[in-house]
Amino acid sequence: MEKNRGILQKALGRLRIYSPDESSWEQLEETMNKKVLAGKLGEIEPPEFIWNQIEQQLDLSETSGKLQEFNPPERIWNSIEKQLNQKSKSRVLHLWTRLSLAAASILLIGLIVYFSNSRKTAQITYSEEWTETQDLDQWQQDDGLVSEALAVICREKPAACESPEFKKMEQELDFLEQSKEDILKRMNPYDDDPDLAVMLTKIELERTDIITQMITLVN
Amino acid sequence: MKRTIKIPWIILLLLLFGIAVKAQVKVQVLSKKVTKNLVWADGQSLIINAEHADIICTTHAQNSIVLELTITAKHENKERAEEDLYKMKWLSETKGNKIFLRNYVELSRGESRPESSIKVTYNLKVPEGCALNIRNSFGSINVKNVKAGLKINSEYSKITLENVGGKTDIETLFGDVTWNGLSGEASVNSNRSDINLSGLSGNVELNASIAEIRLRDFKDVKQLNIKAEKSVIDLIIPLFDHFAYSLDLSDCEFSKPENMLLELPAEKANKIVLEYQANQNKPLVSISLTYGSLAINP
Repeated sequence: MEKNRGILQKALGRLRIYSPDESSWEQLEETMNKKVLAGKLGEIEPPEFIWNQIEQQLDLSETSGKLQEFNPPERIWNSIEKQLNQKSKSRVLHLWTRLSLAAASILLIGLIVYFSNSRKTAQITYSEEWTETQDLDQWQQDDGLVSEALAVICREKPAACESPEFKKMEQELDFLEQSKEDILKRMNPYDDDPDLAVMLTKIELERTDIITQMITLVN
Repeated sequence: MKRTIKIPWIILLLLLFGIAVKAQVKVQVLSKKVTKNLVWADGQSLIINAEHADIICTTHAQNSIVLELTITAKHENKERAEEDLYKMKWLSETKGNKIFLRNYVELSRGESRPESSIKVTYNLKVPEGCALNIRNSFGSINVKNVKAGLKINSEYSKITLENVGGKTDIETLFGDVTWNGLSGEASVNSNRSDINLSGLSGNVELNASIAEIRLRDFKDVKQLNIKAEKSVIDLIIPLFDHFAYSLDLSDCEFSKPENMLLELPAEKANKIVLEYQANQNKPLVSISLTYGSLAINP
């Protein structure tokens, strides 16, 4: 085995050294890149000598850390100190500017709020007065009764209630009741304007007139 | 057997006129006043969309619209009145040749409708060339000296006009119209609203249902057309001969000056159709009335 080993080494030593051309390396690199991108590159356990080489490199880096220390001249330190002082001053200035701006903003907002409030107060005037409250329910007391009475009439004499004249009066009554409802919805017990009450009175008069006509017509 | 239905209609009538129950209370009144000057350009019109508003408008010799708006809230509780005061909003906006003014109740989530009595007053001064378009309900409208055109659509609002000319269109429901000093083209469509006109000139057209119509001092009118139903028409014309008349009356009472020579039917007729001084190139008064009465007074 040892004999063969010597023979083999000699034979290898006699082999010609062959170096592939540049394009082959490029193709190889490209194929590898593709495999890397595709995640197809298998894991390879590097041989022992590779690890030894890495270890040597690391030792070299460690040694380089032990290089001679260099102390810069005094003027360099002075210059650095001066620059640092300038920066710190400008930072202080920035801080003051920011604080001033913040204070000004707060003051401005405060003034706006104060003036808007004072304006609001100035715009609103307040007084007291005596007024007669209106009882709005009084306008609706008979509504149910009228409807019931008309329903009774029409049950008793359905033919009369189907006449065009009666239907027309019924429509007018509906219109008046709708108008009355609209007014009552908008009326307020504290209203001091008599106009709406006058309108309601007119509506009631007309309603009364129509109801009377309807009853007369049926009877 | 004939059945008689006894309807307690007398009781119903009595109930209809229940006596108003009123009580005196002290109310807190809060008012907010805003003044605004709106830039106006020739050709622009003002459109007001209001509710619960008293609108008072007149003209001035400036190219701006001056608005003084007051919102008032009344309630027994001061805080409640103040809260309600802020629920009534208003806005002004200019879009092209239209300037809009509007007031409305705005409620936030969970807010109830105002309990206070709220009133908005628009006190306006507009340029003489500014046309007006007003919509209002539950308030009043008072316009003076506007000649560039006026359109009103109102419900439950009294309308008072003074020295108003140009083209005027009024539509009103439950809102009496009082107009003193009318010129130009006027048209009034009314439902359950009384109409009181004086100092008229130009062309006037009235279309009314259930109204008391009173016209006086209209010798300068070129044409007067009245179409009405269930109405009382009262014309005061000292110089009645100044006009030609065309009358069409159905189920109406009619009275006239003694010296107005009209041939009336001998017996009381349901329908009276007649003409007076027709074709004499006189200004025409044309009246068509169904149910009601017409009186021509010297």
